[in-house]
Amino acid sequence: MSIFAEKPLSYALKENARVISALVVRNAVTRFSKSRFGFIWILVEPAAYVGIFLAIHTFAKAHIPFGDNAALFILAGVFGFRMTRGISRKTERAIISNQPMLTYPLIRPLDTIVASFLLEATIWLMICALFMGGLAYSMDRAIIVYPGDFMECLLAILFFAFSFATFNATVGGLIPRYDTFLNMINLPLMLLSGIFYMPTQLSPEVQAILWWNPFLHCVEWFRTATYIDYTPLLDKGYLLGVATGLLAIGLTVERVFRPRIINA
Amino acid sequence: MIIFDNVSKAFPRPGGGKKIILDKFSAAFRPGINVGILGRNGAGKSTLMHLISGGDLPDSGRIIREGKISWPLGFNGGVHGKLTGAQNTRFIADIYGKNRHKVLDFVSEFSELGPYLDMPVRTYSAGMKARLAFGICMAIEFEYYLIDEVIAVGDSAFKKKCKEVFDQRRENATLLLVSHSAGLLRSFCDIGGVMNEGQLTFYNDIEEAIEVHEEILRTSRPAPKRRQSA
Repeated sequence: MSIFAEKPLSYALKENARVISALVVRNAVTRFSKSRFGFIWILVEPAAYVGIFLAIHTFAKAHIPFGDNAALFILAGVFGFRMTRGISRKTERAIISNQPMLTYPLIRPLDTIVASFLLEATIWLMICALFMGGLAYSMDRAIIVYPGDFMECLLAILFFAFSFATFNATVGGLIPRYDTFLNMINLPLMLLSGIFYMPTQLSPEVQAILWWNPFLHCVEWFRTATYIDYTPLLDKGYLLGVATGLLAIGLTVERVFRPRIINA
Repeated sequence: MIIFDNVSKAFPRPGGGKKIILDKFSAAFRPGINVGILGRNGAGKSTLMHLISGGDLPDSGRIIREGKISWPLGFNGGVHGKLTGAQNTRFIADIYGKNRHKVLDFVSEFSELGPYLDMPVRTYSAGMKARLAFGICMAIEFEYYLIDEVIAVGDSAFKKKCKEVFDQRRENATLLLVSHSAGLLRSFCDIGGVMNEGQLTFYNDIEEAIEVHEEILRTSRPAPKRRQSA
């Protein structure tokens, strides 16, 4: 039946871009319109981590795990983990929080995921730039010693965050209480990702366990860009492999179970 | 033209089994013929609307659509409570690639919400929400309008206004209306369809459809509790 033409690809892409940009604007408005508090919190949170760590550090008179500046060590860790988890957290909830919008046939679950990701990635990159810039200014030296590695690391973090979120958003649509499970593993994941310590200083047995946590690789990758001679527990191939696998599974689940995900 | 080709759709029932909405259903909705759809609560009228719009997908079979089809205009979804009426309007204009100002002008004139357009939608009454949603949908020119009960919440002035818009659009817009109100169906629709037991049966006369529907309501009371296992 040739009269029922499919939409040409260029038109479909334009439609996608239109839908996603409208969703980005809408998400930004709902995220920040109710109160300015939302934006303040997102700035306070990394600062609070650093503050608490520095306080403990001073009281316990512990030595800095690595380098000469405790704030830099902890900030690299906080951004390696929190940025990755922060972006993926909002993104994996995209389908649920945009559920009413799925009434519009033009908006498909994947559009909501991409839109949330774009907004969150932009927000976190800005915050990261703000903190790193602030620290560089206060220390009066360059913090990012390997800019090439740093760009690479940011891209890897974004890729992993997107993949992890896509997997969680689609699989979470099928498994009841999956979201609660994600909340539960959040703290263990954070503690196991090496924010507060240097993984290579631990015993090989512990390292072998920590190695499985992809967030650890995000943190360690981040640190290789901020230190000249840091010894990371890092396998770039593992992080990218896990991300690719999660993305493939997430997209497949979305395609196969689309009707159930829409009605979840 | 909207064609249902052997379409089946079912939902899992709480406690096991399946609730069948459509069972190997084939039909065509032709342009220019306004259809009123009746059925008792839970017969699947809203699901049918979502299937027609493409918002929901069938379990099996194909739905072929030609022409611009609106989203199902109903009580659920659509407008976001946290956003203002105007923000909702702009958002929908954006996703359909329409000029924001033109759409907003139409909506503010049609909905008569005045300054409330700049208030969050969650502060609206049911009637105000209906006027907003209806206004946005009418501002974008579709060839098929899927209306799920929403006209019924309006007062008579609103209903009159809706009728006027549809009369103007009659030549190039087709209406698929879900309603329990015989009066609304009579004034808007040419033919009727009754949803029951996984099938949508068409009647060439809307009066006949209303009679069949009322007959079903009489005979099926009290609500049947039998289970269909699939």
